[in-house]
Amino acid sequence: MRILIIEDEITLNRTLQEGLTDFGYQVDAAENYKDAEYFIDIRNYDLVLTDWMLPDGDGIELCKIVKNRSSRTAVVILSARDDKDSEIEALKSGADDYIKKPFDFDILLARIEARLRFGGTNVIEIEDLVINPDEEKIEYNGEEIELKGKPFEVLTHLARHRDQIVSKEQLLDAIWEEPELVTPNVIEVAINQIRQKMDKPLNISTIETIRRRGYRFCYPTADEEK
Amino acid sequence: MQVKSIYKQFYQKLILATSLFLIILSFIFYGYTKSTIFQEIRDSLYSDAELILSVSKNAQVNSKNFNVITHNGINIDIVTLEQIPESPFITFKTKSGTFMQVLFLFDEDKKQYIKIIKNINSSIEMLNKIFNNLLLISLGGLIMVILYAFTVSKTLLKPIIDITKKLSHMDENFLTQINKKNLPIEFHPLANSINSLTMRIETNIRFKKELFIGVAHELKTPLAVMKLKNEVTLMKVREPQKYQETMRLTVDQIDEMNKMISSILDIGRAEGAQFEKPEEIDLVQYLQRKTNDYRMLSAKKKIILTFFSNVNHHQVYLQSTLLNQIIQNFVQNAIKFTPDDKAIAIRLEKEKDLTKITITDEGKGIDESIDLFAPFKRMGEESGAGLGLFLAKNAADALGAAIFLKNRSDGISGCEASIILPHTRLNKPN
Repeated sequence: MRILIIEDEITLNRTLQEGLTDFGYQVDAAENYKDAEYFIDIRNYDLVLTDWMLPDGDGIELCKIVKNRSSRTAVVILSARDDKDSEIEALKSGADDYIKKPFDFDILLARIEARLRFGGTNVIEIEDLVINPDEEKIEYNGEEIELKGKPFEVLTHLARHRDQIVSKEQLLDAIWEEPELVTPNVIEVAINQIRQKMDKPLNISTIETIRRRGYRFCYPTADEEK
Repeated sequence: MQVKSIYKQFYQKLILATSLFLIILSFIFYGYTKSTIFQEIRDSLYSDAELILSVSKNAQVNSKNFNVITHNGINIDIVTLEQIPESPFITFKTKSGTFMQVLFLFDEDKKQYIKIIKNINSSIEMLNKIFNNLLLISLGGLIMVILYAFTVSKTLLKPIIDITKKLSHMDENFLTQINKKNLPIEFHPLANSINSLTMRIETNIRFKKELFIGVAHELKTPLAVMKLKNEVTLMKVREPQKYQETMRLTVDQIDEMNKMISSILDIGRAEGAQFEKPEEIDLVQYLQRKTNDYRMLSAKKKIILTFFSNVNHHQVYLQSTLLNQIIQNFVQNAIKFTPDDKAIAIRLEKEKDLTKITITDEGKGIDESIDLFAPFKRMGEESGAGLGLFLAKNAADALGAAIFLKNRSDGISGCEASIILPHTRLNKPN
């Protein structure tokens, strides 16, 4: 999951970066509106964490831009403003959440997790397949499957977005640290690994390739349901 | 305790004055009427007596024949009196009515007087009728006076009541300007001062609001930084350096907050300066002294500080602490933003109706598009709370001065900060 942090207070910015990276998220950080716009332009984000008062702009404006590009990107506003009117204004302008400073870091983490579940639960259970991202475990029919690292993350991401076709770009941005520096091949390698370790031995089909558009989580298919 | 009411005072005074007037008028009228009538009667008695005298002196007629000469209701006699009567006329009352008597000298040697007694009942009745009518009219008049007093008082009071109604609907959350269109001119100065007061209250409230939001942000940010850094550091076991770094950061943030709180306390103190008593100072001397003081600050950066004035003396009457707040802030900013080895000029220009103090520097100038006088506005990445100009603006408002910040227009890069003091605010009130 890729997160964009926009915060003009440098220490806060860096510490948030550190903390979130520690928890396995891909993190980009900007210190002002202009830089934030640049990042939003070149990469896909699952979540944007922004301060309200930026030196050259307004976090609320940024929220609108992000939502215009992709409404599924969650936007969380961090602000020192703790009055009712500010909170309501922020939420009405499109923000998905509003966190007042100073905040508890663990609560922030929990909220980010909640946002990135996209309405599901942390542990993904579909028919006989159970994917547990917290413990990096997959179980099929109670038996654990040996799938870790990037392939595991790709499967989890696709499972979470199983109602969409996810493009290669989106996958790269979500899972790789420097998406511009890797060849798109890595995705195919990962998908291959998934198919080798899961589809083939279990005789199921987890991911379908949609030419020129991307991949989609497709378990269970009608055949498998039988 | 008596509570004053203009309305009550108005109509009470009106009623008193007009009623008194009516009563006095009635008295005068009645008195005049009575004396005129009585004078008439006396005159006729007199002329009768004269007539009798002229006729009878020659003819030696006696009293019995006198009645024929005059008319009914009159009794004529000749009496002998030892003493000269004090007054020729007497009025007396008997069972049958009121009579007037005249004693007219008939024969001085024999001490004889003509005595004429006239029944004046009809006159008295007429006078009584007049009196009663006057009474009735006065009563009616009194009622009209009371109504008139109430109505006039109400009309006079109307503009006052209008203004008080408008004012009573205002509180700090609902401030409106008073419309002078329907107000009598006598109330215009009052309306003007109330309107300018409400505007100042609105500005003050807006500033205070901005100040509070700013203060919250400025204090909460260091708190958020400390909290986050410490929480993240505690998430895993780390190397001692990491812990030291976190603790150093915590200390730095505490220092930042301390500075901020001091600046905010300064604002509180500054508000107090507004109530300081003004004093007479020589502005030229004052600025010269201040320039010398500031040289100690500018010397560190090897900046040259000069003072120019277009007059040798300028006696003014003002609150010097407030003026100092403005000048000090301008000079400090100038020193902060001017590079080493450059120059800053403080200029005093006394003109006809105003005095101008300008501080010009050779820094990189300012962003004229933002309101630098708003609280917590910082220029660039410089240190400081961002409250200095806000304080200066407040001080200027209290002094009645106007302050401006703009870039130099003579081609050299830098900022020009000016204070304009109108002479109406610098003169001692008589």
